[in-house]
Amino acid sequence: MTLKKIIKLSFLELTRFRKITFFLIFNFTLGLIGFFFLQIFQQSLSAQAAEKAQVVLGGDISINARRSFSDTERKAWESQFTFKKSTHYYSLFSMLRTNDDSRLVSVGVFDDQFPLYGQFKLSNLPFSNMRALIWTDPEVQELLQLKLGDFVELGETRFEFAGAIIEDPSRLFRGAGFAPRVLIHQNFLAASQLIKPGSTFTETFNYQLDLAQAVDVAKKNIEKVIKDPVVQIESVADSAQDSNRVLKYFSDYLGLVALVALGLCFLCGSYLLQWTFQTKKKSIAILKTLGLTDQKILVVYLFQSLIIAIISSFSCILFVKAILPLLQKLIIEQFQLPVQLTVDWFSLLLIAFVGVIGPLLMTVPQILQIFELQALELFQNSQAEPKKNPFYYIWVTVSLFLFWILSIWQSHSIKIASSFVGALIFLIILFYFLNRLGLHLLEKIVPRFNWLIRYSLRGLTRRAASTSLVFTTMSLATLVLSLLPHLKSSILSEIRPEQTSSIPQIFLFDIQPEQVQPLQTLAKQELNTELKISPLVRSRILKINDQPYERIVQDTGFQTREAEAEARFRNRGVNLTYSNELQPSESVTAGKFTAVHNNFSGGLPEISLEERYAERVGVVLGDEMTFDVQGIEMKAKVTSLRKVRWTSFQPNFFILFPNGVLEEAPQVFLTSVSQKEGADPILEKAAIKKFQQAVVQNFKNVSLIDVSRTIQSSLKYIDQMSLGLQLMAWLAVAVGLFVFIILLNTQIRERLAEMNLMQILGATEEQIRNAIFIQFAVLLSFSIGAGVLLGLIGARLLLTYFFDIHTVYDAQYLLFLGTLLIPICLVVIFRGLRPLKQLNPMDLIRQT
Amino acid sequence: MLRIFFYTTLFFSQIVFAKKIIFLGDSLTEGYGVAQEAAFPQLIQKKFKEDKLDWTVISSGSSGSTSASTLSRLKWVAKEKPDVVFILMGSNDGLRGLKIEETEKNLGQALEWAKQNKVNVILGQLHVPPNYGKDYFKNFSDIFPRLAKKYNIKLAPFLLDKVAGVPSLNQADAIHPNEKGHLIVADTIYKYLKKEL
Repeated sequence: MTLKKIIKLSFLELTRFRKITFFLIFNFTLGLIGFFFLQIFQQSLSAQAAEKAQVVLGGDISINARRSFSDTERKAWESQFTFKKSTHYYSLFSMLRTNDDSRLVSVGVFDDQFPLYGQFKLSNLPFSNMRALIWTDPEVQELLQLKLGDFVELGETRFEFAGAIIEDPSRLFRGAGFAPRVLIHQNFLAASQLIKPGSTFTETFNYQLDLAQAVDVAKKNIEKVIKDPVVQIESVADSAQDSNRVLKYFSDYLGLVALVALGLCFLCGSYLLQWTFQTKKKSIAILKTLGLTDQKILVVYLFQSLIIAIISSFSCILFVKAILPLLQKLIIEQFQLPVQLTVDWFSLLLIAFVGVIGPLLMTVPQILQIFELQALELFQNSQAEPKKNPFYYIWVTVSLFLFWILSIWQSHSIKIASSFVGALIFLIILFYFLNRLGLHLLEKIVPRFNWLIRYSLRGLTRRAASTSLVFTTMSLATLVLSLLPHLKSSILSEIRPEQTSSIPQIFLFDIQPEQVQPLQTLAKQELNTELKISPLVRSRILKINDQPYERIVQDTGFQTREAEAEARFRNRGVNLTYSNELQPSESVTAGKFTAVHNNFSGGLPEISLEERYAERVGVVLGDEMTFDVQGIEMKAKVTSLRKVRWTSFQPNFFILFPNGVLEEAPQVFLTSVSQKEGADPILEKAAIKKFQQAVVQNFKNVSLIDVSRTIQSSLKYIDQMSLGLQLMAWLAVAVGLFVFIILLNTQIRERLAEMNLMQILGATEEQIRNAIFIQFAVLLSFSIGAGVLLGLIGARLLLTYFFDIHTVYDAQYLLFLGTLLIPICLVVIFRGLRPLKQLNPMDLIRQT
Repeated sequence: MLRIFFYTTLFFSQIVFAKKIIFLGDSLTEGYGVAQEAAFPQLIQKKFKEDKLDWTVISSGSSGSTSASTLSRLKWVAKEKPDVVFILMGSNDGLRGLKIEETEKNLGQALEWAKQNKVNVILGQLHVPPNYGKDYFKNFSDIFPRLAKKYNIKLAPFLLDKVAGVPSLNQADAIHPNEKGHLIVADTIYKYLKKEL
């Protein structure tokens, strides 16, 4: 048989089964569209997160130190990579003076190139070097009562006030400093004499690399020529990882969602092909009987799959390209999410692979079955499960390996990919055994019921293989439906405070013991609230389990930057606090929290450590730590570990003592002020402002940091990312729902012939409908039940061991899922049974 | 609990040692970022031992502390009945740009209390980095000789003399001395102490 004839036969087969062909193309296209959108969204959001990291860092690579760099040093590192643009700037503290007041400010001394990414938003004049101009944070303008054109002194130069800094992208996630920011141009640095011997400042060089240049390679090359451990070399990847946990959660979640979508796509594809094969079995048997060799049938079958795959992929790409501008408009205008949706080569390649190569690979089990098909068995209408060929297991192994490689590609992590593939295998095996058990139990109880229920239930047990496939796929789809929203709600709960009102507006440091009461009185008077004031006792960790903890530096100095950082961390000293209760943002994860130390018990004070900190210093429950508290040594025993929600933005500590130990030690206090829940925000803001002024006036030593603007700008970004998470979750849910609908559709089609027979034998429409409903009610209840239950367990495991955050179940969503799934299932079943009315005895004969 | 520790230490230290000097300061005294034994108070202790001088050094440094806590901390360490309290407070006031008058008032209150309670005090001269501006630098530096004169106490030379602004003698933050820096600080202070004590 020539290739031409094979092609002709393939098209003939596709045309003969045109309803199935169209059904397959339609379903593959829809599945691919869902996956493609997820892919585009993931790529676009990741690109946006990466851009944000570039803005936060101010470049692709940043080199800085708290000292001057020589030209030789700069030339040495610049010879290690190629870059498009660079910027050079200084940061330092200084006093900004007017005729009658002065204030500490953090000075940014920039050149014309800054910032390489993002931009400053300044209220009046743009950043320029025309004359000695200065821009300040709004609070400086307010405190020093500056008007445009006023002159202020900085160092030895008079600067003209040019406006307020509205937005400074470089300060996102970098926290607020002790001093507000001012900007000046580098041309006026020399005249100001701010930098001279003894000055403390940070000199920074930021680079925008050439497109072809890999950031991590450039960083490694730079590290080779910079030996001084005090020089910090940061890349945009470090910035994305280190600057905040939000980006980390976000990228982990994106990776997981993409994998889930990929898994669903493969699962759905495999199921559809297997189902199609079952439908076409008889046609294949006829070809065999007519003398066509297995090899030729195989080529015809493969060619059909290829045509379906190509048409589906092409339709998918066309549809997505056509709808993308509309979707882009919707995302920006309706959701206010500044994401640029773009289709890159990576996404196109992936779609081509999943859409074309995927189905061909998924056809292998059917090909193996073609070799084993016995024509006689087919005409006997046998439903027996075929025996597995050894090649089947080889195919399973190869497919899993390829899926694992694809998962690594998608998640950029071997760990995540391996865990995901491992979990998927485990779940498939688990669902297989659950299904076996369920069917076995059904067989046992079936005789107790009337004929209709018996008949319906046997409809499931007779098709053991088909039921198992549907149960597994449906359970996995439900698992995805129920898993992702819990992950999303837990991540959102972790990164976003429940109430905006609980976010502090100001932090107050260095409150002396005798100032605590007067400060509380002031808070009562101005804010009508009692402040939660935390004591801070400075100490050093001397020993852990009687072994020295501090790092002694050898004469040879530090060998690596990391060794120095570790030694400085250990020798830095720690802040202790004490309390008889945990804060709402804290929870004990191991051991028992001790509220009050009994001085007469003779035992050591029992302390609580933040769990990540405990891990870093190498402490476990039961360990004994020796502290030096201002010249006095004291021992304590670690009896509990705590998890702290740092995004509560409240003062939290790594080491917590019980009451009754540190009260007499030298200490200072700190506190934060938040808006009261339910209060008028404008009045509250005014009250806090008044309180702030009173503190500055009456507690001159107390340092006050206004964090509202910094936190608000970070929250704005978190909100945008949260919306991204929501959309991704809903897209994945839509893909899951789609799989669900396909499964129901195919199962009903599978039963149509049998229902037709029942119709011919005299069963009423109601009896047929009831039989179908009973079957699907049992199948759906078991698979949805198993999926939801495992979704809850899976979410808990993932969040605890992978994301390392508290699980917050989204009960509202579960309810919503129920109210969504039931009508969808009913509609699909009703629609699926519609063709039954048009069927007649002749159709039954034609099919068999 | 801490009181029991305190008095036990006090009891034994009074039996064993004849004279005691306490360094009351901030992160510079605490030895921020270096091991306790590499910080200048412990290095001075070693020097006393090497020179067979019967002095015990107690370090009471607290990172981030400002002059506002000087009085309460002085009262705390005075319980040890020291022969000398070496006060090195005020750096953080300068670095945070606090008002000069406030720093002077806080240190003055502590020195007044020391005078009334017959606690022998040495005041350490401190400076802010030059980038804080000529005026602030001068006004801040002038606090210490003025107070020393007012309360008739000794004024020790600048703690970070020959160390401040030298990258090789400081940690990455360019504020806190590293191990080599602390050696020079210890030399500077020990020379002064040997002469004065």
